[in-house]
Amino acid sequence: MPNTIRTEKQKLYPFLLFLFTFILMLVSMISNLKWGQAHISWRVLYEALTYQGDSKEHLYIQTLRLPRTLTAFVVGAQLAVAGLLTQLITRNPLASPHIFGINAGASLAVVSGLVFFAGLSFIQSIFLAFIGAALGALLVWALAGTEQKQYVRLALAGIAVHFLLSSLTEGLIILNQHATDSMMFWLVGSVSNAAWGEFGAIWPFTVFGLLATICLLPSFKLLLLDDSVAAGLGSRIHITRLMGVLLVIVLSGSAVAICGPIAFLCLIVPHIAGSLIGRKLPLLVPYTALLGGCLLIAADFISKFIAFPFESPVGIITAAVGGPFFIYLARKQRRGR
Amino acid sequence: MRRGIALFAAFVLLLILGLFSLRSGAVTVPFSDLWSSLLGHDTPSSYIVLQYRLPRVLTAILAGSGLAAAGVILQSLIRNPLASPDVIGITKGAGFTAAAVIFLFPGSPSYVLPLAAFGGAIAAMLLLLLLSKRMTLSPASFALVGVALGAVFQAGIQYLLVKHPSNINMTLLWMSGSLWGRGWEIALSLLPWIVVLLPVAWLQYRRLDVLQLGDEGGTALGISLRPARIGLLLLAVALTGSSVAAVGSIGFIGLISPHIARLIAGGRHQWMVPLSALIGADLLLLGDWLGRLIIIPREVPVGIMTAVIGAPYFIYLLRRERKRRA
Amino acid sequence: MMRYHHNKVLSFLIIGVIALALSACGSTATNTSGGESTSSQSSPNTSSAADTSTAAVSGPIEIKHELGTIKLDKVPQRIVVMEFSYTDALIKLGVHPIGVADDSDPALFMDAVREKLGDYTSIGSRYEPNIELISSLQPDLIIADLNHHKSVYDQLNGIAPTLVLNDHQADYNGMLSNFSVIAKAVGKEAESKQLIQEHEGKIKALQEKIVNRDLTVLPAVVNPKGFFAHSSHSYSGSFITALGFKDPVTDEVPYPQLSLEQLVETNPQVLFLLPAGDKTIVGEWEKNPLWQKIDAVKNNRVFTVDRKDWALSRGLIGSEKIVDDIVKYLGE
Repeated sequence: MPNTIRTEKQKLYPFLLFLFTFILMLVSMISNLKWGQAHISWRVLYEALTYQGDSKEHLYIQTLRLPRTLTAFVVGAQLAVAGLLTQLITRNPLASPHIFGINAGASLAVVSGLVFFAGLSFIQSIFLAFIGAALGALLVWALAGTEQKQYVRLALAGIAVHFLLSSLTEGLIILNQHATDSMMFWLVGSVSNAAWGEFGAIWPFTVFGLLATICLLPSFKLLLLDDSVAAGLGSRIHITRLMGVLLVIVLSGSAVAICGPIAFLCLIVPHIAGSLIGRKLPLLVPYTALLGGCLLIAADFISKFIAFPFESPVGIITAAVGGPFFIYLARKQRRGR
Repeated sequence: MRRGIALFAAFVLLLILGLFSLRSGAVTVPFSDLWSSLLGHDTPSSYIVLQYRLPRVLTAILAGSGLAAAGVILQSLIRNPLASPDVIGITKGAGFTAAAVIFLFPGSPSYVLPLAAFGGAIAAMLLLLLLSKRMTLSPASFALVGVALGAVFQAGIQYLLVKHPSNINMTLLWMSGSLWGRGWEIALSLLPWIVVLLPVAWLQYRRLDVLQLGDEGGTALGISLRPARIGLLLLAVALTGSSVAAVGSIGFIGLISPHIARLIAGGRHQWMVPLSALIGADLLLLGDWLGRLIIIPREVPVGIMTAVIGAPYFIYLLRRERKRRA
Repeated sequence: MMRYHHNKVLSFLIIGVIALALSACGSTATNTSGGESTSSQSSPNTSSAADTSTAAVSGPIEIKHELGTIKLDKVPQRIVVMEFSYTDALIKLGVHPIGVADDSDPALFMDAVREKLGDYTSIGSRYEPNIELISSLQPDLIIADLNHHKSVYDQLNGIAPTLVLNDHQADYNGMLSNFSVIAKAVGKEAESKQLIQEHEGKIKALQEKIVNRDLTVLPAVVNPKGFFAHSSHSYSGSFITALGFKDPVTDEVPYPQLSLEQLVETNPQVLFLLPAGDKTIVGEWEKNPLWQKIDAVKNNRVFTVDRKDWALSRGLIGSEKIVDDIVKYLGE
């Protein structure tokens, strides 16, 4: 991956890019608040956002669409940063928590939790998801090894583990057929039911995860170094990697516990962000988070309308866009070598 | 010599597992009854043995060996021990078309489902060839594009599942792979495919050996790589497609069996092809047998049993291999 | 270091496998205990089936069904069924099936059916019923569902004449015609006509107790992650419209999943909740002030009813229970 040099040409460029993406995010956020199953006028939207009035329409915005949009934003940001970290740690542009079995592992853990203990609180399921995510990551690690530039081996190991964990999840679902309808959520992922409760459970993890990532940025820079240089640093690089893996588990585990395994977002966003803003981490990390949130809100907006008036899980949209993108990346990767 | 013993042992194991599969289940058939049923005498359990369990056992053996042989071919083709028909998207392609039939044409006759699955496997292969053509059909491109294709098909399957929640159970059962109710019709329609294709695969052992070495070796030995690769890929897809059409997209057999075979018999395909076919049959039979016994009167679909049995063993194998390399 | 990693991996994995095994065992324990106790006593039950059918018509019965025609030389005594709706129909006709696909969970029968059912052998999942067990029961009639069992029709037919009906997609009228076919197969055609007449009379009488029928009524299955409305294209939805109520959803999809916003927009005047699981999404929604904006909630017309009565036991007994419930909550 050659560094893009565009950033050095203009100092203004990153600023404009951030501003543009921010506006894009605001636009998709407002569209998400404005359009849905019920018709809502601009006036009502303004009143709702400034908390004047409590008619039905105001409540739609205040209690449903607003928390849903905010949850989509933080989940998108978390998944995107988790994807970026995975790609940094493995130095593999095709890596992502999804291909890495982390999402499937978290899902499996939450589903088994639901099978054994009927009512799980958000926090309990988040911690279960951490365990599952760690299990998925460890499995892939053991299979693929930590050698550098093993694109093929990592992709194959990751997908094998992903299939293994998902088929165990499917097994649990089949053996407990009466809960199937609610179980589907754990195979695809959706934000449509996110209310203030969900948002309240997840935002501390977003803040913690992003802050920790930013604090660790100087260490993560080591991961951009060449193997030969990095090898000289010895154990420091191992510790950095370990911290990175833990952060990935926290970020994507909590996202999966709240919204199910939303596919491919974590793979695409870091690439788009990287090609737009360059590979300098202090810019790349916040931009990836912003872009991830923005894209998940946009995807959620689309998911409301592909089968109107009924909702479709947003995971389908991200998978439909992400799959071809993965093929494109795979082809680019092969050509580049 | 060791290889000969291994082949023989796998075969004996197959016989023993087959016998136990015929004998036990929700209803236990005493050996005496089993024997006279097989000889054609009329016993109370004749129906269970001859019409229900025998075709099921036969289907398991055929599909297991087909998937395992396809796994051997793909691992040599891609030069990676982690490749298998499910990992590179062929079974997912079959699964997608099968799900489309279950959901979009629920009234279609029952023979349409396997046909659609076979068509899906072929379509996945064509896409794979098309998308990796520009990349000179190198092994790595197969793998990466295959993984991506599998993910796309998976997304398609999930879309169908979400759009039609009332048929989810049937699709999940098919998707994880099940031998439930596979009768003579299915066993006999799978039989010619496997009986013809397995020897063909075995006859390719020299080519498989060479391909595994790498491009240089192949060119030096005067084998033109492109047609050889396409031919072998076709063979693998035919084996996978016919097996998946019969039993649904069972995972892990194609991944694990070649591994075990390689550990026992080494990397030479002359031995690996038949040995891993036998091991694949053993594993599928074992999975089905256990799946029928664990929660009587219900059954655990065999695809889930193979995942449960296969996964820990797979980890163990990789660990050993890594240690040996180190 | 490496070794340590591997040990960790292995132990995690084993925990996973054990978890799956445990969940399987958990259900085994309950299943086998239920299955054994019922199967060991299945012989007296069959004699009771014989008693009830003494008044039956003689001579061969010939019935056309979804996948062919069956010919029954005598009235079947040992019947195996693969759906709860078929059990409902047989019990209504006074016939006792010897084997039922009950997903290994007798708690899924509605109480009225369970009481009269007596002893039976569980043949496992409704999707993949245990064919070995069916064969060992030596039935003389099998009643199967078109969608779930068409791929094993030949195998089932090899065991006993198999009647294939479309139950999975049947609405209320489809259920009534399936009932008549089942009645014909067990040689009780005359009784069935009378029973349907009685049923219609009963429904009519109960219907009259519900004064205000100009209401939009929505039954819905609710579980921890979703609210699944039963529209007029589903079984319970179609029955409710047959009673004269209106379906607020009006959609081709039988079980559309609604968000809270959509539910408030749909604004049903009466809501029947069919919970699957102790904790459902409604618990969350009740905390939302929007919940109060639904007419059904405003007028205290949200009722929790049993899913096995409303959605599983799709038959005459079940539908009469549905009307009973409605009268109980909406009658004078």
